[in-house]
Amino acid sequence: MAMKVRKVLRPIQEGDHVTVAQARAALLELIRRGEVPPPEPLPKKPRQRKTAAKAE
Amino acid sequence: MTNERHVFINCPFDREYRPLLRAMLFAVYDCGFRARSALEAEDSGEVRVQKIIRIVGESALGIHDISRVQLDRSSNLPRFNMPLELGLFLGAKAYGDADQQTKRCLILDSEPYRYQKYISDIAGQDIRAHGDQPTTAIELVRNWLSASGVAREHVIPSGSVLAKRYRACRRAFPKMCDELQLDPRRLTFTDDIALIVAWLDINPWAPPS
Repeated sequence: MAMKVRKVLRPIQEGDHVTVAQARAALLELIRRGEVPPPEPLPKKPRQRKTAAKAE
Repeated sequence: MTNERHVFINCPFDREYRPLLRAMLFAVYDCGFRARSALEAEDSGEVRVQKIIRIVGESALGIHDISRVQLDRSSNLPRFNMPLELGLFLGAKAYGDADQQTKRCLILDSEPYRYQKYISDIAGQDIRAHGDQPTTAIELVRNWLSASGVAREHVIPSGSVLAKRYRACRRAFPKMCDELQLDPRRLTFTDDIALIVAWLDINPWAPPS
């Protein structure tokens, strides 16, 4: 069986804590392979509270 | 000096409580805050209570779950860590400098008003019941954080929206664990946070400001 290619910064070893960068790389790879759904589109403008918008 | 976005997490860290902990961590990070705990770094050179005192001192906010009142199965004794750490937090707020006095905390229990039977002196604090439901915990954390000063610039999506996002994140967890060769039953506090933060980074609810 072919060895899985891992796109993480460093292979995780016993006792390691996974880093955000490693988890992010793994998730992006899963999205690329279609195993996890891609992110939903963002709203066009950041939503701001009315009071904050008025103050500006 | 406290950080206004740091949230001290004082709750059980066992497997039974993990679904509630994960849900709360997700809500904290999805609202734009950072969770702090004695489990965030394993430094055997720092005495645990000193580490907790340091983290309490650095956190402007605290979530304290006092629901674990059952006797420990192996020792047949109750665990007092959560009430102790709640006391440290309230003490810092009461006796600390002006910065420490701005601290705010959310106290959680599984049932409403049950605390009156075993820790009645905390009456008057912000105490809410999550009913052991992760979705309720997300909503409680979201509503509490959205009232904080730093969260007032943006409208944070409702608890139900955050809960839906949490379910999507949880669905990705097994595959992420598989990809990273992690045992999903043995994730540490920092593993959980890394997976949550990575998912949120790729699935934001608003463009970065």
